[in-house]
This record gives sequence, structure tokens and C-alpha cells, in this order.
Amino acid sequence: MNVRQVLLRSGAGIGGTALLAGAMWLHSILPQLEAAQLDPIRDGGTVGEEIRNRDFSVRVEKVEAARSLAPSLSLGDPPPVGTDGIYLIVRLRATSHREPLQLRTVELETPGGYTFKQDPRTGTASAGAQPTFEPMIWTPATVVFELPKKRLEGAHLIVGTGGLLPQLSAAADIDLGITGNRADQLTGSAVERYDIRDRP
Amino acid sequence: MIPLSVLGAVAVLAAALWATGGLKETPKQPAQSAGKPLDLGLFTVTVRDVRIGLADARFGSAQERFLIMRMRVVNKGKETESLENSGLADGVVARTKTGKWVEPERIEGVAAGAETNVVQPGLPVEASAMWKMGPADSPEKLTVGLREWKYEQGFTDSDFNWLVQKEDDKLVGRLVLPVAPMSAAPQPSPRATWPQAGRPTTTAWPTATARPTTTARPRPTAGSPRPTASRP
Repeated sequence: MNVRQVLLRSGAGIGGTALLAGAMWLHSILPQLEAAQLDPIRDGGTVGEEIRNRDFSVRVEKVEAARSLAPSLSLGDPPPVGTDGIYLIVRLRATSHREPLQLRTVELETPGGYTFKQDPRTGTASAGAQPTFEPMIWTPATVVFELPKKRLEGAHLIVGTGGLLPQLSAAADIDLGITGNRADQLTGSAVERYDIRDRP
Repeated sequence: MIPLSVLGAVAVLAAALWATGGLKETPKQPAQSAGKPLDLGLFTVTVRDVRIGLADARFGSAQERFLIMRMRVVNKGKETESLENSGLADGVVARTKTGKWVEPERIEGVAAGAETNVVQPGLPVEASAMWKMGPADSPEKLTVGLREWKYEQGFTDSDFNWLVQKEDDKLVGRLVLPVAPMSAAPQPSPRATWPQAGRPTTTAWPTATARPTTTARPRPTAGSPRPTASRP
């Protein structure tokens, strides 16, 4: 029995323990599938384009930015509803194809896997239910998002029927066309006290 | 021969174990102090202070007494999170006299000087967790626990979600905070901003309004100070 053998065997013991620990760690790791198999089916498009699926058609007309939103009540001159980031306002029109429907899933997805829900603030003029879209009538709707300025670039709007069981339902994925330059432009031209009710 | 190699391996493993902190149990509810950011997994929360204040009841126009804990909340996740149900409120608990942990009745948030009930990724919110109090309650200390969030699969579905860890009374931090009496604290208001938050105040709040309830309330301390909040 020499030193070399002892070292070899103790090394094997430690190596074996490490392998066992590694196996246990590996066993605890589960794959994180981002897309479940029964997610809504998305159709892609860009601003100004009509995106059509089985249930509805949607067209984004305008993308704007604001530093603050007008409060819902003008009584007593309340201050505007500000943000540390920026408000992104998307104006769209949609129509249903078969029956009246509501677009219950309205989200903004930005690169890096970030998802922002619509209608972030209570107490703004924007707070309110989305309209019901009737067949053959193009109904306007406005959605508001609040997000950090650096997340503007590459944002996508996801609009879908949603609901309790959204499996394999319809959704539209609209590229808002916000490049780096466009993001700077939006940030630069963002207005104060944006009032959703004022504009067409 | 075999004992020698085993001995060598044990010696190395023991050294590694000693270097990584040994077999001593990590505390389940480590004591933490206010003003320090605590990493809850999904949120980073900096607890500021606790006070007793009046706020509008959820229904009706009456005012009720609340224990109000102010904190700064940062969403570390990638999605918009609610401040109340199935959001931050699930992971904030206060300990009652009987040792039960209760979630706040509601959490109100202020971001950039305006009311909010969500916290967006990357945009911090000043939040007030509120526990309703009985008319005679006036604790001097409040014990607050913050629970951990883990990104994992739920029990019934295969999707990954941020889930709050409610088992075993395990907490990321347990804070014992002095409760400021009502007279020293202004009335909570949705648009209230706090000086120590370093945020632009858009509205001044009525700090110096005389309120009859602050002076006339007899404090029912019958000997020992009550260490914890009582259940509303």
C-alpha cells in the first residue's frame, strides 16, 4: 500500500460522492417548457395590417407613448398619473367573425421573455372594460401598458380571446415595429396627461 | 488499506463540510431588520416601518383602523404581478397574539406618485400592507414574516409559475418592528408619497390635521406590553 494508491482510492471515493450528488441534483432539475402544447394559436402581423383568424380580425392603427395619463375624475384637479417608466398606448380596431366576443387576453411581450398586462393603473381615464366586438362591425379599442423605457424595443402585442380555458383558441401576435430609433422617438415625443377619451 | 482510503475521503469531505458551514441547521425564520432589501425570489422587499393609521373601509365611507406596514417592492420576475391576491399579499404575513400568521387584508401601492395595484418588472412600488384592527387594539410591536417564492411546477399542472412557499412556517425573514402610534402618523392616502422613498411628491398630504381620535383613545395596556398584533 503506497501513497499513490491511497490518493487514488480517496479520490475515487470523493469522485463517487460528487457524482451521486450530481445525479440527485440532476434529478431535481425539470425542463421548463415555455410553450405548453395547448397554448392559443397565434397569427402574426404588423401595425396597419389586418390579422385574421377563425374568431376575429384585428388591426393595430396607432402606437403612442405617454409620460403620464389623465386621471379619470377631473373634480378637484387631481394630478396626472405618472410612471417611472413609460406608458405605451396601442389603438386598435377589431371585429368578430361569428359571435360577439371579448378580447380577454391583451398583453405586451418584449424581448427577454417579459410580459406586461394591460390597464396598469386604477384611477386613470383608461380604466374600464374592453368593448364587446360584434360580427362585421369594426369596433375601436385602446389598450395601455406601463413598462420600463428600456423594454420598449421589439415589443409585440398579443391579443386573444382568452377566457378560462384558452387551449387552442385564437390569438394575434402583432409586431409593433418598435426598433431602437422608434423607441427613442416614442420616448422623446411622449406626452403628459394623455387622455384616452380625447382622441379618435 | 480500505480504511485508509475511506479515512482520506472522509477527511476531505469533512473539510469541505466545515468550509461550507457544517451540519448546523439554518434558521427557518432568520431575524432580519427593517431597511434592508430582502430577496424573496420573485420580489425584493425593503420593509420601512409599521404604524397605526386610518383608512377608508373597502365598502362604505367609514374609516377603520389599520396596522400599516410600508415597504418598497421590486418585481424581479418577468411578468406583471398583482400586489394583492395571488401576488405580493400571499407572501406577507403578520403574527397574531395566538401565534397564527395572517395575510394582510389589503395592500395598496404607489408608483411614481400615483395609485397602483400591480407591480411591473423593473418598476419599483411603494406598498402599504394593511391589517385591520379592533377598536381596542394598540400593539407596540408587530412581528412580520416574508415568505419565499419559487419558480416551479404547481401541484395540478405542468406549467412553471412563481409559487409562494407556505409550508413549515419557513420564512425568508422575520422582522419585529416597533409600531408607531396613530398620532405620529398621517392618514394613508392613495397618492401619499414618503420622504424617505426619494420620490417626487405630487400632492402634499394633510399631516397636521387635528384628529379627535388620536388623543382620546385610552390605551388598554394592562401590564405587559403586547408583543404582537392581535387578529382583526
